[in-house]
Amino acid sequence: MAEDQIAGLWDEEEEFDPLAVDDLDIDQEDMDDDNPLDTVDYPTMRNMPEDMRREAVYSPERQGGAVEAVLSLFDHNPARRPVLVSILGWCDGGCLNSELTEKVDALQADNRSVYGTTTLCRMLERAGALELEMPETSEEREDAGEGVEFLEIKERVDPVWRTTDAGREVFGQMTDGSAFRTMVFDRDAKYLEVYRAVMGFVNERPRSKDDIEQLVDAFEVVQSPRRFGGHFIDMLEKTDALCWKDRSWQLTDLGRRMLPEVEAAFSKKGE
Amino acid sequence: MAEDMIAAQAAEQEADLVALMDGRARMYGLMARLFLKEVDKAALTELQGMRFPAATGNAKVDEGYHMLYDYLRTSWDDSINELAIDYVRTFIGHGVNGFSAAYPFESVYTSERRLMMQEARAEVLQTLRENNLKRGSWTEGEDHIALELEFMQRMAMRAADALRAGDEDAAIEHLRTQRTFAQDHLLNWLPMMTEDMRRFSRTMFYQGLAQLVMGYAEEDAAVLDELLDSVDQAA
Repeated sequence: MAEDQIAGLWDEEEEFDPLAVDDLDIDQEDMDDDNPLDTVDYPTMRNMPEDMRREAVYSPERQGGAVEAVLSLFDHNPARRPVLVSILGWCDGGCLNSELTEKVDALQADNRSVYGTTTLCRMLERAGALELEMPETSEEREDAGEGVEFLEIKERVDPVWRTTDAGREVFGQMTDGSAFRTMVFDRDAKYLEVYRAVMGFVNERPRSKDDIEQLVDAFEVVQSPRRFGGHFIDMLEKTDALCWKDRSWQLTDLGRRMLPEVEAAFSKKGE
Repeated sequence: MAEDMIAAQAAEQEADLVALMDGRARMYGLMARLFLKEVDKAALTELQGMRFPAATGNAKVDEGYHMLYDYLRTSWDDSINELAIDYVRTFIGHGVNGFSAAYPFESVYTSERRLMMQEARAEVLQTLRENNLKRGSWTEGEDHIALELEFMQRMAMRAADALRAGDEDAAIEHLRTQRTFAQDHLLNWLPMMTEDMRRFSRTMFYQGLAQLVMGYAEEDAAVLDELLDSVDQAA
């Protein structure tokens, strides 16, 4: 860029020097009476927006619809997806927060997270998959002799989380086995026999990763290009057919439901 | 007969005083805990199980109790997050200019440049040492509001113990220590800090706590004055 152009963009007299701001030299005349932040008497606070909260990352407004927002949330939180999907199922028809917390804690016992129940539910709520229903409360007063009156909380608030129509739709998509079918019968169709073996093997009893690795290594198809047991564990876990529980890999309900389909597809392929 | 009645009356008064000291200790302990760190699940459950007096006669204390009660009766698990956020917003803030939060240190409010670890901290530390109180796991300035409130709690407990043991002189000495500490420290900066709390906090909980601690500190100072004045008059 030529220097004459630079001169037009840069006014040296107006150069901003953050270090030139003197905290102790505050001109009260400059303050805006209508701006509540001016009461703190500090120049940089004045321009700060009143609401510092960030916009939700996954919201119907941002993704163009609640279903899209929820799917995007799941896509970007793969490790939490099973529990998020389960919450949608449990909250269909409404679920008390206390009951939901017990269920979520149990589900996350083998897959711990810093996200507690309310955090997960708030994520789903912002995306449009859940609604929160707060019960009505009334002021309780109690006379305890000698005219002394006390305020006492007699009933603890236990709100209800309810799955929305969008949440129900996503739950249906997540639990109908479509992701599993796409993976096993389409994208990874070449490895159908391996998937069949792994699922049958794990269905007999929970297995370790080493057990699955040994089983997979025996197949010719995984030698070139090389595929290890971890790949099949990963794909089955991602499609909700496999889960880590009690220090071993186990088939999920969905996995057990899908197993006959895998067997049938394998038989058909053999014919 | 008359002697018996006088003795009974004196015993009753002493029992009232012990109860008063125990109550003061509990109250200062509660407030110290609420300023020390964020409300967790256990603290929230305990607070929800408490009974708040509806009318104490002190407008600030009453307003504080009502605000706390109003917040707590609609509180649930999510409130722990909300209170943690508000605790940071109220006491830590996001600026470095000394005006971005209700800083819980006396030095900030009593030093010209609003800095921590100033004269007030040295004085509080001296008072703690004079009263055989040692720093435990605390790693920040001793002029933190939670520590100052806890000091009042400890002194109230000592006064109660002394009364139980029949050592009135020791109890009076503990009360004098508390009065001096409240005048020289707590009441010296609490009005400014609680005003800032009301400015920065967004939950009824911390708004209420600001009112409660201010009202209680004022009320307690009046109680201490009354008790010690009656002792001085009797002497």
